Amino acid sequence: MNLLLNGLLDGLNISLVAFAFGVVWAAIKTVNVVQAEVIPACGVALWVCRNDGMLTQYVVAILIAIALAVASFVIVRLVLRRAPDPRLMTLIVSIALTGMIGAVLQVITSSQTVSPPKVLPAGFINVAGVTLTWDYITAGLVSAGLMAVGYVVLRFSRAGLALRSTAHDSIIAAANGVDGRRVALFATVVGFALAGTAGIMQAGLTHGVDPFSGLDGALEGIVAMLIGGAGNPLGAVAGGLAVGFVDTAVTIYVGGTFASAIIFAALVVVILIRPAGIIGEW
Amino acid sequence: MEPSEYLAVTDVHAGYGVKRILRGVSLVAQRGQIVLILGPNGAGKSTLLKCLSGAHPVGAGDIRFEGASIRGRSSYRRARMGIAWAPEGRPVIPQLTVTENLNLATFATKARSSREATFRRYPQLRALAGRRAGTLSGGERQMVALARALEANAKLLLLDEPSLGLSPKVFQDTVRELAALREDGMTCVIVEQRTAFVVGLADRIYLLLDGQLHLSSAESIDTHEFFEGYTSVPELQEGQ
Repeated sequence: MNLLLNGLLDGLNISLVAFAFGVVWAAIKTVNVVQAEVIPACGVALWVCRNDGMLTQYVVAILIAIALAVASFVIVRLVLRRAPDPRLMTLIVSIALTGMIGAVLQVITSSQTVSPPKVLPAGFINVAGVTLTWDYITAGLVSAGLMAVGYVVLRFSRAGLALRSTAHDSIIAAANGVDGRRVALFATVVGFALAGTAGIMQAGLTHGVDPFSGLDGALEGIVAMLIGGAGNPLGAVAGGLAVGFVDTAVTIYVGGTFASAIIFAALVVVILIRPAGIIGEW
Repeated sequence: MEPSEYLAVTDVHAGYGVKRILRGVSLVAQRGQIVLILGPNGAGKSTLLKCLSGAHPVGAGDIRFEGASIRGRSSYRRARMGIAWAPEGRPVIPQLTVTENLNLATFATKARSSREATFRRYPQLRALAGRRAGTLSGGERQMVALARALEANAKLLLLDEPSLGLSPKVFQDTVRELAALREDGMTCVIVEQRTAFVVGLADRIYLLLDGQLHLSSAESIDTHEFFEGYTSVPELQEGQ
């Protein structure tokens, strides 16, 4: 039961990161690595605005996520005008931007791990003999709620239809009047805002933000996205929960050192057996 | 250009890398006409439709639609001007439901026709509305593509091998539907191999050989033997 509940809460947070990356992947079919840097950037924003009240901290953090989304989108687009391979160039340019954003975060934090104020409720509760902390419960519920809303938007809204049609066949979507650039911008803003929210919650759960974490902090989410099925919101949930359970189980029974290695091994096995992920395409 | 030239393609060149596929293609279509483009495999018929839809760039030449040049306009902008394109073998998005495929019409026009009107014209689609398009037969997929174009109030329909995967009976139904669309004023450019069904329907017939279009006529085409080693242009009939 301990494994089940802790794995579930851990997995929901990973799922949100996977979901956020999946939304962008669906539109551009690659990873905009800047999205990974959004996670510590939002944590650092909480710390910078630590004296300005909780609402201001949240708003500033999310605005920073959206600003990074728009800036990276525009810069990548400018480069792509002359680039022969959009996916590769998106990856390369976003890696370069990630280095620049990481450097800015290091300047702001003096390359130290900073501790933003508590953004999640404290305390604990006993559920079926298992002690759970309210910060993990809150983060899990927020993640689940955001993913549920995201799923409904993708499944039933006009913007969701534009994104899904572009994800499945961008040429046919465009031939029906769907503006691929607007879809990519929409997906990037939504994906970055979700990653920013995940960053706020990670800062609340770990009580510290490492300005060097960047891609490392998002890696579990990216792996979860690939395990579940890139671009599929249900795949993000499944992949996140799978990674969460494996992470928790390995940490409890084997030791935390091996968790990452086993998760990456699981990714290789899943890709060998089901290249499109456990759930596959949407 | 004469005012009646609804679609005018002038000296269009296009290709893939160094390979030149279209070398000075020109054609005209008037409003409400069905234009048929024939030619052997690899002649560039699909490339021509891609150029018309905006899915492939034009290297040189011009494409005018309703009097305005659309060369350089992106695919989605052409769709919003009323150009609908159903590529070979994938007229719909198979992962989406029939309803969702039809709803794509909302991106091409703000004044789409009603879903009820679609179901009156294609009653079979009502029962299929919730099904994934990937589970439909070839004829049903073609029907969804035509219905979507109608809902989007498309003015120019580009069909690439609409007979692909269809039984002769189902394709005859499609041909009848195309004739009805022409009566409604829709202009169609069709690339097709099964000439026996569509040659009689076409107002203009072009042969695409060696990267160039040649105006031809129904009488000059042996519909049963058309692709048996066709290498030259038969009985050109200018001014048809």
